[in-house]
Amino acid sequence: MEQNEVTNYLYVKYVDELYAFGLAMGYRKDVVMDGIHDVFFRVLSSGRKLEDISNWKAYLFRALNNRLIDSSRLFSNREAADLEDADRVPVDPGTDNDDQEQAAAVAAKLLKLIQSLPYKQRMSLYLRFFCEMSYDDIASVLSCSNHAARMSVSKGIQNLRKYQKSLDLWQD
Amino acid sequence: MARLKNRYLNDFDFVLWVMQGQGVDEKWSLEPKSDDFEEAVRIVKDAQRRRPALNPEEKRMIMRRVRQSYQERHLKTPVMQGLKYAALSLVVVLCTLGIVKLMTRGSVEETVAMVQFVAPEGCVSTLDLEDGTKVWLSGGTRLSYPEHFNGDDRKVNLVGEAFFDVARVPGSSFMVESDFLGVTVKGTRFNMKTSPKPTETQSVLLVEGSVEVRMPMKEEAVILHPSELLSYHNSSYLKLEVNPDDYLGWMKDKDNVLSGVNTIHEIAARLSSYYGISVVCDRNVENIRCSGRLILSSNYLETLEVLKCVAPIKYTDDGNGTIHLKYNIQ
Repeated sequence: MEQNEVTNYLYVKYVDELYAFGLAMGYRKDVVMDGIHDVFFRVLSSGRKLEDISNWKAYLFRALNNRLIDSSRLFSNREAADLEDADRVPVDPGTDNDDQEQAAAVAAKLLKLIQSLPYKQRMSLYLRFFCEMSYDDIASVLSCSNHAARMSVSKGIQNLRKYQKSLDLWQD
Repeated sequence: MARLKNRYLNDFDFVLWVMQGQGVDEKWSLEPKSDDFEEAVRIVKDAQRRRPALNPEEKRMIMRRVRQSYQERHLKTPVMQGLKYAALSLVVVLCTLGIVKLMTRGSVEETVAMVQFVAPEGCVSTLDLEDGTKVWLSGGTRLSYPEHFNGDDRKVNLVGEAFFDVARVPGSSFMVESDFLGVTVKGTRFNMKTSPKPTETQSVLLVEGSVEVRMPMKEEAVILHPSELLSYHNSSYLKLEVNPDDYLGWMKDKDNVLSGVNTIHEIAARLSSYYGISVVCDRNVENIRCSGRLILSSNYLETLEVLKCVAPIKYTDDGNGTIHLKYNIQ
């Protein structure tokens, strides 16, 4: 495959996930878009073939995260509220409106909770819950061991339980 | 927060359980699989897949920018830069000005294409005209001349500063026109500085031979002798006897740009050799570093003024050709 095609293939496949990840991590929309530009510019310039990197998904998330940390222009708390209104990917046409609304409500509540976690936990929980990544992948995005990734997720979940009580987002 | 219709969704533990992949060792795996339960599992899974998305136009835009950045990067390979540099410094932007009537002979009208030469900024360009006349142009100067010289007059048009070494052609005079001045010569070497702005000084400096300078609102042309400078400003002119070398600094050295990071000490050394004057600096300024491009203009005072703006220094001229650079407290 030509480098151009490799880049295109990866872009089409992962751009939505990367974008949502950047927003969930608390960065402004334009910052995330710039970050995505930088990541794919690097893919295109590096000349790396598909087979050169065993796990492109983890590679791209890690690259984007590094770019975003570099630019480190975080949302202010007020802007973060916009996240809930952001356009959502349409769910399967099979589900009816009522279900969609409920799914949206669940997602919004969870994202809001996740926002209140420390950066690393936020990242590992997001990757685990919303990107369905394995612990190995999370570990490689976070540049840590598999064990540390598991710890980060489990601590994040503990914290979520704590926060959800204090924020009263979920009623038991 | 409003209660959701499906009771399972209001249970945070349930949501977390589904999110984590419905492990078998928790109470939820033992829950009877009612319709509500199945629905709740499906909704949480939907929620996991929900995410903000870029619209298609934004997606295309990012990819377009990626390609643009890539192309720009590739244009900056050494070969291309070399070519660019060559294109800039070796020659010129040549463009045909248009067809102008240069001369009329009897009933036969000949038209000659004019060529415009634009000297790149920051370096001195030289140009050999068809008749053997050699022209040095300072950066940014524009010279228009006919593609072919026909007949008695060789007429060119100048905007900026140029030095002419005019070839002697029997029976043909060489004319340089600008917005304000007209110079007619037979065979000579002279410098001419012009500007389209009426507020700026225009000048002609003769080095060798003789020239005739015509000015607006003046009936008679002024004849210059070697080492004479005519400067024209606000409809009046001044004729001075000068040392031509003082005015021709700009064409002495093609490398009239100081670039990169230099200390004041290095800059002083460079100015000394470039202008043939002595530039010394105080201890406390000699290690101040300046970066960027400093164009060494024809007059060293101009260059020092520029330097004064970028570095915390001031200068004094002792009158014996020594410039002293000192620390400026501001």
